Amino acid sequence: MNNNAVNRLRESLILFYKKQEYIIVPVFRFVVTLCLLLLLRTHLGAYGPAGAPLQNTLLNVIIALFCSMLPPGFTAAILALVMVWDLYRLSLEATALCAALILVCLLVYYRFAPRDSVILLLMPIAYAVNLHYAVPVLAGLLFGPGAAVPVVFGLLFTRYVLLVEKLLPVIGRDAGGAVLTSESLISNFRALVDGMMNDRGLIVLAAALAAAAVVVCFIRHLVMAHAWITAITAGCILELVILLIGDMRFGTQIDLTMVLAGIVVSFLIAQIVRFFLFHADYLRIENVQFEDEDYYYYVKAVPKVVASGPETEEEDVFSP
Amino acid sequence: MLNLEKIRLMTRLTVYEEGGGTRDRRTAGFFPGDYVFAQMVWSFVTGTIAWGICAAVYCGYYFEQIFFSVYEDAAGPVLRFAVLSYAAWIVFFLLVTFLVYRKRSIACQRRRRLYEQDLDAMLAICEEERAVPGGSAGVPR
Repeated sequence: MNNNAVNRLRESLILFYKKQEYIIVPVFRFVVTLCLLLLLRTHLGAYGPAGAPLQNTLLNVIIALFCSMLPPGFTAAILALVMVWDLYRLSLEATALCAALILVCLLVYYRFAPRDSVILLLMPIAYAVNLHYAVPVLAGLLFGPGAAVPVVFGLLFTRYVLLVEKLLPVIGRDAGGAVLTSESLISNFRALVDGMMNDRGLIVLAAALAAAAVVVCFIRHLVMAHAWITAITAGCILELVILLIGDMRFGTQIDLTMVLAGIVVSFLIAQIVRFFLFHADYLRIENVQFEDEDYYYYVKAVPKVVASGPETEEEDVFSP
Repeated sequence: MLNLEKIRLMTRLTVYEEGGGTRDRRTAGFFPGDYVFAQMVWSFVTGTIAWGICAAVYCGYYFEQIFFSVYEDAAGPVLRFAVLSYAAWIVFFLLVTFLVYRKRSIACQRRRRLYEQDLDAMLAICEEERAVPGGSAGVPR
C-alpha cells in the first residue's frame, strides 16, 4: 500500500466519520458507558447482594443507552452515582471516601473544565487493558495542560475501586459478623486511606501520567517542525523514565514487560490519532516573507498531506 | 451568482453563534473585572467546601488524636494547622481561579471583537447588495 493509498484511506475514513457522526458518537458513548459499568460489575458486583443495580444486565444496558444521549459530563455524574450506590451496599466507609473523592474532583477541577470528562471516563477502560499510558499523551495532544488533573483523578478512581475490591473481605458490611462499631468504622476508614496514601506505585504512576500530559501539551504547542511526533515520543519516554526512577527509588516493583508493552502500544495509538488529526508534510514547508505598513511577516506554511487525484489503476495492455 | 465571501462570513458567524458564542455572550454580559471577581467568589465557596471535605477525611483518619487533644484542652496546634492549611489552600485556589478566568475573559473579548468585525463586514455586503438595482440582500439571522 503506497502513501497515496494510505492518504486516500485516511480521507475516506474522515469523510465517513463526518457523514455518520450522529451515529458514531452515541455508539461510542454507549460502548464506553457499558464498558465502565461492566468493569464496575467485574470488580464490585461479585460482592454485592442479590438485586444490586450492577448485577442487573438489563439495567446496565438501559443506563448505557441513556448515557449515550448525554454529554460526557452527565455520563460521569451518573456513573459516579451508580458507583456510590453500589459501594453503599457493600461498605459505608468506602462510600464515604468515594463520595469525598468525587466531590473534591467536582468542586476543585470540574468547575474550571467540565468538558474534559471524557478523559475521566476513558481512564478506567484504558487501565483495564494496560493502555493507560496513552491517555495522558492523547489528553496532552487534544486538550490543555489542565488535562493532567482528570487523568490523575481517573487513575485515582480506578485504583480506588481495585483497593476496595481487595479490602472488601475485611471492610465489607458482611465482614466481622456484620456488627458495625465505631472502632471498626474508623479502622476500616483508615485501612482505605492508608491503602491509597501508602501506595507508592499509585503515586509514581500518577506523577508519570500527569507529567506526560503537561510535557506533551507544552511540546505540541512549540513552533517547530514535527512538534506532534516529538511531543508523543517525549511523553512516552517521560512516562517510562519516571516509572523506572520510581521503581529504583521507591521500590514500586513495576512489571517492566507490561509497562514497555503498554507504552509501545500507547505510542502507536497516539501516532494513529496524530495521523488522523494532524498529518503535515514537513518536506514541503514554505517560508514566506512579506510586509505591510506596520509589520514584517515571516510565515512558515506547512502543507497538509492529501491524496493526490483520483486513483488510477495500472492496466496491463496486451498487444494483439 | 453566489457571493462566496458572504457565504464564508455567514458560516463563520453561525459556527461561532452555535459554538462558543452562547457562553461568550454570558461572559460578555459582565465587565471583565466583575466576571473574574464573581468567579473568585464562587471559587471561594467551592474551595471552602472542598477543604471541608478534605478536613473531614483528615479528622476521620486522626479521630482519636484530635478527640484527645480537644478533650485535654490542647487543640491549639490542631487549630493552627487547620487555619494555616485553609489559608494556603484558598490563596492558591483563588490565584489559579484569577489566572484561568482572566485568560478566559481576554480570549472571550478577542472572539467577540472578531465576531463583531465579521458582523460589520456582513452588513456591509448586505448594504452593497441592497444598493444594486434588483439585488436581493439576504439578511443574516
